[in-house]
Amino acid sequence: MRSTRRSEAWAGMAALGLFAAVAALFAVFLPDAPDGPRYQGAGHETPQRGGTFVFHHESDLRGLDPQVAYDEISNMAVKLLYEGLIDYDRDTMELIPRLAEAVPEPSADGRTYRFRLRRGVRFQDDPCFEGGRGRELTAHDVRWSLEHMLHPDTGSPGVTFFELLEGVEAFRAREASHISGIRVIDRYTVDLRLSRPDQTFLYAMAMTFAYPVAREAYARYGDETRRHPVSTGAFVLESWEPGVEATFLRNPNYFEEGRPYPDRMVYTLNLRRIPATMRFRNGDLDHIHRQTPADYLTLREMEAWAPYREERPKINIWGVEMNTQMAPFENRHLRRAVAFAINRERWRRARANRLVLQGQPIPRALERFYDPDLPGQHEYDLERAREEMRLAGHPDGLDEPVEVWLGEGETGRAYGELIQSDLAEIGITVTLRQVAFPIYLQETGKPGQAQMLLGGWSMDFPDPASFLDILFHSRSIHPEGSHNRSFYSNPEVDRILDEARVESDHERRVALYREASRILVDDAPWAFIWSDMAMEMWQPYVRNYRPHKVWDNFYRDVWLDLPRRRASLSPAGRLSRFAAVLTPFGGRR
Amino acid sequence: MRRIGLGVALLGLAAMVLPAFEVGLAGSPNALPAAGAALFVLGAALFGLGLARDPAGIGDPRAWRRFRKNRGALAGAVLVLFVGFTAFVGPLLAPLDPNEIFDAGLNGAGVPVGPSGQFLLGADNIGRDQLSRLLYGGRVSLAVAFGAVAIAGTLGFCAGLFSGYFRGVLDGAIIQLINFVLSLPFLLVAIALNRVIENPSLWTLCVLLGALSWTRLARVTRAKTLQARELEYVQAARALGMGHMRILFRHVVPNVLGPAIVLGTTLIAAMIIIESAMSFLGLGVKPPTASWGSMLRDGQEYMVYAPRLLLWPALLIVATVFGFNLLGEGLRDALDPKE
Repeated sequence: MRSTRRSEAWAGMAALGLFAAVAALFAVFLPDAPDGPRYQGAGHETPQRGGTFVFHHESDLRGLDPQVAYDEISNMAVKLLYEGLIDYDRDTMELIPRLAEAVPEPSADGRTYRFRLRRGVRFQDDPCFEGGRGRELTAHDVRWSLEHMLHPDTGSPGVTFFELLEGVEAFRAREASHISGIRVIDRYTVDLRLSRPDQTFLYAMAMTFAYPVAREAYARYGDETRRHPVSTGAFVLESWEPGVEATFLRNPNYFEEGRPYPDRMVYTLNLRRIPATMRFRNGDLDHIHRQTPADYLTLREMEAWAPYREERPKINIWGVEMNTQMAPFENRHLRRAVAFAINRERWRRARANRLVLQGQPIPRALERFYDPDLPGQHEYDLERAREEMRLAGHPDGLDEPVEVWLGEGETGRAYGELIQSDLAEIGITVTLRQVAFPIYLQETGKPGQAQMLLGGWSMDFPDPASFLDILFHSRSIHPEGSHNRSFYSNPEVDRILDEARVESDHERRVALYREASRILVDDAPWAFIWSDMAMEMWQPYVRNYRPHKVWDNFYRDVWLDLPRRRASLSPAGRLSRFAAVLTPFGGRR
Repeated sequence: MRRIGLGVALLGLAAMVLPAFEVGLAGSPNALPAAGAALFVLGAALFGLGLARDPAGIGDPRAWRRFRKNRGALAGAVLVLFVGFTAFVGPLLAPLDPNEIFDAGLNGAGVPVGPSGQFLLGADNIGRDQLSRLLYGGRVSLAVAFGAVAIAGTLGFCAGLFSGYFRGVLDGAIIQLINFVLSLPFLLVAIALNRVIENPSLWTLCVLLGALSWTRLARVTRAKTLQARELEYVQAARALGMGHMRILFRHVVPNVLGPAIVLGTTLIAAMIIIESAMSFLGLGVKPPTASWGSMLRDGQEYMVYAPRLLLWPALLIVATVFGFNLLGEGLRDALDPKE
């Protein structure tokens, strides 16, 4: 019996040794990760047609109906499929015409905008049209699209941006069958009339909610239109496997001759940032837009990538939101204490210095509105935080723990632990509640549900209204799906925001928004903390891509410099031998 | 003396584990584990003393001898003792607060700093002391494992014992229940339940893992009981008119305890793995509490820059599981010589 034991032990040792030897062999012979791009372009200087462009996002695509979709992930696809009347210039943020012939000027009273459509713009071919051929886009489509989007049965989240259109209220109350402010003048001309001048109206018209859609599609597909986009855009949907990928083909009816350039676009879904970065470095993904701090630091040090990456501040705002209608944060001093207790410098370093710190609701990147000298803006000041705790009547902290809602994943957890650690300094115990993103959105949008959350907002258009109206106007409080998740309601702020929305004098608008900003900083429904710094990277053979100033990940205009060549990797001796063997398997397209 | 020693040691162990469940004396968080450690040492000493005086005392003396001659089992016991010691006494040795975020923990670029005078094993992804977290994390990992196995052991042992001894309807019902629980995909159910429960604590995790893992133990115990109840002296005891409980606990239990102990030991190893897996998925202990699994998870972002963030918790998990498995094997060989 003993001998059996002993031989078993030897066998075990031998197995372990073998395992270690195999592992070591792999470690030695696996090729090094390349420290530069794996593939270079062919060297064309003029745009080339053809090829497949592959991009990704971390989560799932919800729908492709531009009238309902209101998240970054869906909008990336919607902007490939659909086209708006007007849009933004990629580099200057200025409005430019797309399906319209020109960006309309407001009439003398500032209330009427006349849109003239481009002639000969056709919808894509689809069985919903007579004969299956896409018909021409007309002014009637603009009217039908807006009315459909604003109809109460559609449930579009975009309604709030069009509230000043004349006759919207009666239409939404089902008292009128049409919106009186939308008038079709002729086949290619439509007038939009507002009840009051609205400085954000043209921005609203550039949002996906205002994109013209085909009524035949809604008649045929109904609620399923989110799966059957019928559009005037650069691409048409080829296939969509939920949760896995969506693919798009060039639209032969597209109004811009010779465009778009790629034959096909592949949208890989649910690809997290770590594997996405790996695939990108291997040449299997053409663009990445978010990285873990460690990957970011690694990639930033690679000189060979320098021409193909860009770091820029995103126009968004992040912070700790406190429910002003729930205990204990109905207490203003307590909210202020939280705002001053956040150790922002520490947060920045924990995220590889990619946070642009700021203590007010208007992002720094909106340079014309941001006020660097705003009095009382939030910053780390523990003394002041303790003083506010005392004023709040809790000099020794809170007895009950506070629950903070966060998204899932390591990132959310890291932020949660930073909040825990910072608020422990002023005697507030924090427990974390990490939930899936859709649940987070659903639950935190209900009043009386979440005491505290880590939240952010990205702009819809480059104007403070895109932040302040949505996040702090009492109009944004709903029984469900509120965007005002701090449930902040202040008549004074409402009044200022309403005034600023219609004010046509730029200086006065700036002053109004700065005033609102000052009140918000004082009342602290949020502890304002940062806006993001994003690094985007693309492959060398991806041409004509630069980060869009307004939209996230806008790929419509790219072209691919194919065939791509495998870049000569840095000579790594015996290691590259292994890589050379694999080369024939590395190709794509 | 041995029994007293064992009892005192177990009491000490319990006192050391309790703080992991946020049970403690207000004001002095370390008083309870310190007292527990003292009790444990005292108990172990008493136990050893008793053993020295009467070496034949622990059940079957031949089993003890067989165990001592099995080097693998001894290695396992040493590993378990080592890990157990660091985990239970570790928090007293931890140089820093495991949950405190230090500004010096991250360098200018935001990368965790390496081992230094202040952080003996370096800092973690947001600047906490890795060593302190390892020491505290072990207590959580082991506490959950022990708690779950205590629950699973009690449940499984009793279920197996009664169903094997009384047979009949009870037996049928328990067998069906076992089959039902066995058919559940373990990790999936644990994850699902842990998400449904509001504010899961360490207790919930223990109960959850325990309630899902008692089945194998119940089956083995039942099989052994079925054998034992047919033994002549059990029959004789019954013929003499002894009560069921007396027969069960005097004659049957000693016969079936051995395999149960062995299974329980290996179950601890399995529980440690599962707890780590759940913490890694973010469903185990709540942040900022450290456990070895959650440390793995925290470390993965910085894998390239600081592999040590994964190395230490992973090594400790491997050592613990390896140790418990070796110990279990050794116990099996010792208690059940029929190969």
